[in-house]
Amino acid sequence: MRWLLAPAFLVALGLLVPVLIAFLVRKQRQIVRVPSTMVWRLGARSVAKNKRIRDIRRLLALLACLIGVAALVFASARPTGTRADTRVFVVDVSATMSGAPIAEARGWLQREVAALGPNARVAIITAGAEAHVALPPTPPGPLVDEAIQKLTTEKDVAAIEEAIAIAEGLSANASSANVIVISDQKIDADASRRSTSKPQMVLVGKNAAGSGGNIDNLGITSLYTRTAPDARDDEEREAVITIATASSITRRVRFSLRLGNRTVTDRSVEIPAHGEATERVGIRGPGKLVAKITADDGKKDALSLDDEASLEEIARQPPHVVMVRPAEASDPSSGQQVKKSAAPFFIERAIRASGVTDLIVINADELLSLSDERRCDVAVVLADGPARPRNVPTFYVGVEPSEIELKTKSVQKTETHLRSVATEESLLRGVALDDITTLRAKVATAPMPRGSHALVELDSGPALVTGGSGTHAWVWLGIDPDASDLVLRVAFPVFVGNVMNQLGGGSQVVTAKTVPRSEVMFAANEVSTALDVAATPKWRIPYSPAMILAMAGAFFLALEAWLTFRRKWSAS
Amino acid sequence: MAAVAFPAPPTGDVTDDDLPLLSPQMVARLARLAVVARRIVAARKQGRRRTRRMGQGIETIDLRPYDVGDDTRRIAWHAYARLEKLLVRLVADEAPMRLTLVVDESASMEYGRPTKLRQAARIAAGFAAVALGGEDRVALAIGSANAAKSHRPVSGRAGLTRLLSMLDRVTAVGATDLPGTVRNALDASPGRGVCVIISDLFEPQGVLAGAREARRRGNEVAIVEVLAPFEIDPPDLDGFDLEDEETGEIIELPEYGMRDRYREALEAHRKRIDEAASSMEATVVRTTTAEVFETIVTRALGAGLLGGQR
Repeated sequence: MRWLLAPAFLVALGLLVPVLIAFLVRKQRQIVRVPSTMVWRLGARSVAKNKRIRDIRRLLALLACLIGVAALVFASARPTGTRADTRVFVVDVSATMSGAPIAEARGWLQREVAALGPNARVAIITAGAEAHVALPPTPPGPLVDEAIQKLTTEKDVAAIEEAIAIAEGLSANASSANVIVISDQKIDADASRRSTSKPQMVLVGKNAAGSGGNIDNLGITSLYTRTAPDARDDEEREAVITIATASSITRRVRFSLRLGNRTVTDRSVEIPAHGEATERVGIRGPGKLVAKITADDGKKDALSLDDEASLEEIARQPPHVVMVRPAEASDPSSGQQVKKSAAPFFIERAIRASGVTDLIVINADELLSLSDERRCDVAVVLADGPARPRNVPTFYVGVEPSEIELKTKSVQKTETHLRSVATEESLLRGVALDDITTLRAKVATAPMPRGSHALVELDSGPALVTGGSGTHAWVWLGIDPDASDLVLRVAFPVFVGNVMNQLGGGSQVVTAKTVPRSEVMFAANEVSTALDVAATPKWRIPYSPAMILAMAGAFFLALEAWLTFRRKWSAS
Repeated sequence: MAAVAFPAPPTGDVTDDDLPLLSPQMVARLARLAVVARRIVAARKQGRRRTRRMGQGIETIDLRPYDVGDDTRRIAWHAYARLEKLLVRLVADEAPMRLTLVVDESASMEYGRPTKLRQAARIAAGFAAVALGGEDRVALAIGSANAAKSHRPVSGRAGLTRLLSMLDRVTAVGATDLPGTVRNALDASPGRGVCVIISDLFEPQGVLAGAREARRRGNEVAIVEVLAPFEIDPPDLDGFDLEDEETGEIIELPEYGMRDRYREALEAHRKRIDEAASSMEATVVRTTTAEVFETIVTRALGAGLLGGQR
């Protein structure tokens, strides 16, 4: 009796209420006594009825309505059918399936499920960015209907092969099982690992990719923000948007970009046939960044899912910095204090000049408290020791711990001439190193750590290297601040500020989730041998008591409706 | 089951229906009608109606050639002077007219304000006053399918009082049966004359079935149709169920458009009545309960309803 709790049953049960109300309202029709109905009868063209006969007729009408509703309730709660096999449906939920194709897929599934018997099992696997079991093997009923209704598309490509593998795994133990792939493009038979009883497939959507149709579509294939290369400050960023079209002619689109409630730009852009165009827009400040395109040439745009992309541009706070300076020590032979290095002083000033307010300066031989280590965003290490925070982006000055795998050598004045500066890198934005004097430095030696690259090279080798990513990002500076005029130059605090900005996440690239280019372009799969096409299900009227009852109920309801409204119909 | 009477049923308030038919106002109205009647009588010589039977009257209705045995006093000498032929004047016999008033007492007459039955009774009283003032004889029949009662022909002022007394006691009940009522009246006092039928004419026996019966028995027929105003211009009853007061039959009205269709049906019904009346050479006068009854009587007399000699 599980069907008693089925939503369809309860909804259909609700139909009883209006039927009863309608009956009661009709029963409550006011009776007016008139001297004679002779003339009225001539006008009404109706045969006068005896009260009793009329009441019996209404009672029969009510009975018919109730039987009709009851029958429909029963039929809707238990879909009829006799087939007892297992069906595993792989539904493509990639971006190109959005709109009509996914609706068509739902309809196809509903018809197919309706034709299955109560002993059959239905499973649904969705193929989006990842394959996902949307419905484990389940008998036809409300759960299946619900799963079908919940099918929605994703802004991604379809992991069809993975989904087919899961589907074949689910159906492996069933005695009679079929895998049916529902997609808008043909699927290669090689997607199945089976040698026999390959899956069948259903092509849906008028715009089915690979069907040879000329599809007009426009879409945003990428949206990201980054610090502008020529930015004057860290707040100045740029949004980069790529718009592509699958059309065979040049398309014109209206492109708008909103940051929060403010429209940053709204302009017309031309997209070459089967190509793409990249737009750069300067932005400033935090907020939700929404890029939207609409066809501006009156032509069709097949997908709406790819016409909008958004990301959250967050406000950037200055990082919490821990600076580890060399421990003050005395010369054991003379007992005098060693000359104090000026580097920590200049570096600290430069850090504070970059906007950092939360700066902890400790000696290398001290211990950093756990709370300070936890809130540390960036470490500046002038000397290695137990105080050095781990697993945070670090700016090394003349220090190269083993974990960054950087090999160095010390060079003297003759080998410290500046050879090259990578000015296009954000770390060196606004940093002028011309005529720098360096008496002593360390340079990196080959091989350089994987993923690292040099930004400043002296005659003897790289003196500024960056590498790593995320919490393991690092910047290494080999120039000795005590033996160079670097720290005295205006470029130094700018350089330190760039380092703080990059390591502290200020210059990170924020990327929006967009529909992949292949989906926007409706790129067809390379299909050598396509899967066989599954037979289209038809609405069937299986021979069953419930269906007969339902049909009888529907007949009675129609009869009652005709009796009620026939005069109005005939008048109209 | 919800049931309402339309229009609103009589309340406990004193209405025109509750006043006796012989109230001072009513007597005064009848007196005025009597004066009208006397003027009509004077205009028609001695207040008597002519019959087609040749008799001893003085008004010439035709001429014919003289024959042996004819009264020489009736020779038309003026005609002889012109035509040189002996012609005798034919004069109408003048006899008192016998007026039979038939009042429909069926349940359908209970509607309106005053009720159609009350209005019919007053019209009948008015006709009786006029006829009796003209020295005619008046018989009265009141009835429905349940019961029919009649009063033998009366004359003079005392006769009017008796008729008014009978009219004052009418009660609407039962189905319409005008043929039966006419038959009962004419059986009780055979003879020919003018038969005036006062009814709403909703006759299940057929259009003017009562009038046909009177005509079949050699009477001249006049008809007064009395309806309530709402029967002529009904309210919007779309979607209602109607219950026939007389038969209890119920018809379901459609959800819209019934008002216009009713008007068309009433027009067709009246047209059939007119056609039937025309075939019987009968006069039809139509009125409603909203019209003052003296006006109706005056209008009816003007239409020749009691004119006789047709």
